Amino acid sequence: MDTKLVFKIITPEGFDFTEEVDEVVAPGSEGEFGVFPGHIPLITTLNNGVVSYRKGTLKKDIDITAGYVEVGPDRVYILADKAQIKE
Amino acid sequence: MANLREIRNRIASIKSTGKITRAMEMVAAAKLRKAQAAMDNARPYSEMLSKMLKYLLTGVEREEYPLLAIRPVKMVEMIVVAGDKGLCGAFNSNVFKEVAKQISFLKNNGSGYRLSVVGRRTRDILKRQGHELRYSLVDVSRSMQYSQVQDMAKDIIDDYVSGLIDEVLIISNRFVSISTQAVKSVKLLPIEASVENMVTESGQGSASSFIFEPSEGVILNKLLPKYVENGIYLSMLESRASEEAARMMAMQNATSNTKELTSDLTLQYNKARQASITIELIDIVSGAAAITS
Repeated sequence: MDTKLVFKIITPEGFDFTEEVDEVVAPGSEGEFGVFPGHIPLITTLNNGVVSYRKGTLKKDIDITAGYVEVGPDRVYILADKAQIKE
Repeated sequence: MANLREIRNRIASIKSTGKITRAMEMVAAAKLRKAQAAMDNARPYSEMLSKMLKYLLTGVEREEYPLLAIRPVKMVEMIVVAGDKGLCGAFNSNVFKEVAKQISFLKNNGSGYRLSVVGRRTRDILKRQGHELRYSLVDVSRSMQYSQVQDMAKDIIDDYVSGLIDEVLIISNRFVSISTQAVKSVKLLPIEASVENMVTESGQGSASSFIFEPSEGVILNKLLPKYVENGIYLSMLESRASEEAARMMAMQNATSNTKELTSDLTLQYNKARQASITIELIDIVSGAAAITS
């Protein structure tokens, strides 16, 4: 069983963010959902909003516009038009 | 033999031309690096997008999606992507040659065509050739916004879906290497089988193992336009890198030509100078000889 998720955000303009994380919460178009390691494969669209991830006790938010997400047991890949890390 | 001052002036002017071309070469080299970086930055996104589409496209009925459906071709939209500026060798003119070829091909087949352009120089020249341009995107080499590409893609997708156009071609330079660029026409719409045999890492879960939310169709309808946008965006990035590479090579050639010319002229100048000295010496010697005798 994988214990970590590879979390990636990619935009066409070159924002390319990769991190090993414990948990991801994303604003899916069918409602917000959380992903832990071992999630079943899923492809869905995201609403504009905030994707947050947790790594240990560190939590961070990332603003996303027009996103798509591919989830696997060991990965969360997000494709977005725009992305911006919130401080 | 040309007189000394004339030669000196020519040498000076060629040298200053050489300085300009050399500076342009260096500017192009710097811009090329930037353009290549932009190209590399865009790659992960398009690879991801292709992969997702591949998952989605297996086992989908083509006809249900307008962007996938293959229709009889009556009207073709050509997106011509080339430079904002000249002085880059055959970069632009190669594109125009391909455009002319495609137009005559389409005319023979009895289908109409429309033109959209990217690039100031592209627009100006095609306009001068008497083409009517429907959509033009200029000055993108300075600052390219993804939203501009999206606007253009949206415009084209709308027309495609409403049936005004049946096929979309992108004519642009592809970046092969720094010294080589190749003009290619690529079919953008309908999205062809090429999507289905796109490269992906195998064994990473097939389509059937994915859950699609809300549904395959909804996602596909949103993702396909993205693919079109991305196609245009990538070809623009590639064209920009090609342009700078072409300009760099052209300027390199120009610089070495000025060097060659200066060395030829310097030789000529020295010969002329030596000749005039010899004539003066003969004058003096013969003058002296006349006095002593």
